[in-house]
Amino acid sequence: MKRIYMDHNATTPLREEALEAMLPYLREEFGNASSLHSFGTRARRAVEATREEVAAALGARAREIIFTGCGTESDNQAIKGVAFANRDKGNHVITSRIEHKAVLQTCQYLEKQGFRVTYLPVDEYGLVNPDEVAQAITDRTVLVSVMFANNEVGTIQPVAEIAQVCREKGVYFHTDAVQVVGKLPIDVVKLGVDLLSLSAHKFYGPKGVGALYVRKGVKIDPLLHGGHQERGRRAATENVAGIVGLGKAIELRLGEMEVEAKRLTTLRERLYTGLVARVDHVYLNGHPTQRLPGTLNVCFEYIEGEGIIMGLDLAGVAVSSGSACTSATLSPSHVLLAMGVHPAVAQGSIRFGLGRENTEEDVDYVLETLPPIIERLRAMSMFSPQSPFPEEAGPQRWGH
Amino acid sequence: MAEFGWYSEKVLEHYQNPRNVGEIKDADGVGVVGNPVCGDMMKITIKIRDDRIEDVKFRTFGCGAAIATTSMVTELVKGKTLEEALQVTNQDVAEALDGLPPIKMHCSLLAEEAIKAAVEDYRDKMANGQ
Amino acid sequence: MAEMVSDWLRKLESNLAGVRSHAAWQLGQLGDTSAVPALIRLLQSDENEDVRWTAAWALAELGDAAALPALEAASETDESDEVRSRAGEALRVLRGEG
Repeated sequence: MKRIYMDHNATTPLREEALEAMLPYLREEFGNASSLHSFGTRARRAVEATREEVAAALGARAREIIFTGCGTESDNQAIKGVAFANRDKGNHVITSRIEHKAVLQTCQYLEKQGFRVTYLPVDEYGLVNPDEVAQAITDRTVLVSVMFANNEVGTIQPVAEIAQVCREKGVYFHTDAVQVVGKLPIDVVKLGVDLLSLSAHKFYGPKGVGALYVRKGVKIDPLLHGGHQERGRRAATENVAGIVGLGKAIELRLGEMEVEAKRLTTLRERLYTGLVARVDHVYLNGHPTQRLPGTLNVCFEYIEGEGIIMGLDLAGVAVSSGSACTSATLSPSHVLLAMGVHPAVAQGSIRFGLGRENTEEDVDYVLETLPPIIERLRAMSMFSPQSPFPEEAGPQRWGH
Repeated sequence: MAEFGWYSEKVLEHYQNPRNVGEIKDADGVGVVGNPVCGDMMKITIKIRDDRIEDVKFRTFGCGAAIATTSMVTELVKGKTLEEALQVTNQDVAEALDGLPPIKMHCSLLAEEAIKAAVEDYRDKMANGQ
Repeated sequence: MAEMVSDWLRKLESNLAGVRSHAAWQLGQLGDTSAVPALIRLLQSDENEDVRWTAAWALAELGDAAALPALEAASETDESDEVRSRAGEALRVLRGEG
């Protein structure tokens, strides 16, 4: 049975060229990049070459790129690092309700350390309003952190506008760009961001390595203490092989990003229009156009997501869901809830994350296989159009 | 061999071919447990004759384990006396499914409660002379 | 409508947690604020996490400010972080913070 992977927002396969580039650094070029001898200098050269590549890909300078262990670490570093280093200026941080847990839980941790955090609401498409950012900023605000594009629904934020607001008010702006780097072109100078997180395994690089862009001049404490690596900003022996893999992956994406974006957008529209033609009571989550090319998040009303994932998995298709059961929590996706989706409807959400290997045949196979799964689950459910969830289903401002 | 997450073959089987799906019209007892905003919800309807569960049907809104446990519990109680049905525990359901991952054991608890709620409902109705 | 509320209020006394959590959900939807005191009690003292979570959700749906003190307390001291978080959300809704 063919295995079809449609969960590229969760992770991507390591591409062959990246693996090949990494191998020498896993075998004979094992030197510690900080060592002075030839083993070290060869490793050092590979790290610095990648740094130049990543910087060029973002429109930044090499010294502004710090390699980290992952996107989560980059987010932690950015938020904690700026908050703690700028405590004399203030103790207020602004973020959004739909951030990745790496940002949200870091902010919750800051609250326990005496910081005040504002979690901005989003509209029904998941968009943050730059005016609301401006209104929330006080003279005690030290950082605004809003993700570039949401990992669950794919909505792309007005990052340049938010960055401008922050610049005008003299507040640092961090963006978690983990879902954007390698998919859409980024120029940190044009955007005007101060900090930006990325993670290799989201763009066909290896797991265990990421980076943080820190604009020159930003006052920031390190997260990891214990060495002089990364100019004293991130102690730890460098993951040379991982870094090299990251570099190769990003270099290849630069060449194919534009064509891929068009191809994936077409593919995801084929999937979406095909689904709504074959299944009823399906709702799109996220902005219809201002969205990552390969991301499609929909709710199937009256049923629950893990049941859908199971049916698809048994048919060879891998996707994910925003239901409570799939995250081992009681609450369904905080992102969908923040967008005003009724919790019972959010339970039936499925996220498709299309990627390089996905084809029209893959999409057509899903269009064939999914409707019977939905029907079977609906036949089992006590809910239906005749017997709906008592409240109005579909996007609405929750609680208002 | 089919595989999904950490579910047993039996769970997958019940998911693909659930037993006793539906709703009994004019049921003698109706048990509804859980809700759709916080996880799983199950509805079990029973028909009683001579103090036995002559027929039993279920509807479930929930994950694979929720479907499998309700399906299994209906199999376990069909034909049993009310007393026997009340003895069925979530452990029995989980064992009959060749085990459930720890994080899914609460589904089996909900299934156990769904039957108990249906029996309770029947006894309430009898007590109130319906 | 009033009859249904009293039915569900009675079900809140069931010794089956699943029945209580179902009843709490129903009460949250019916929009009758006479259920608020019972839901507050549930939030404060039910031993089951799902039940308390649903009670917090229902109190947000009913939108009665009388629930604020109990939600504040639950958001700080409930032993379940899920319930604390849900109570926190409910507070945001009741306070109109969006």
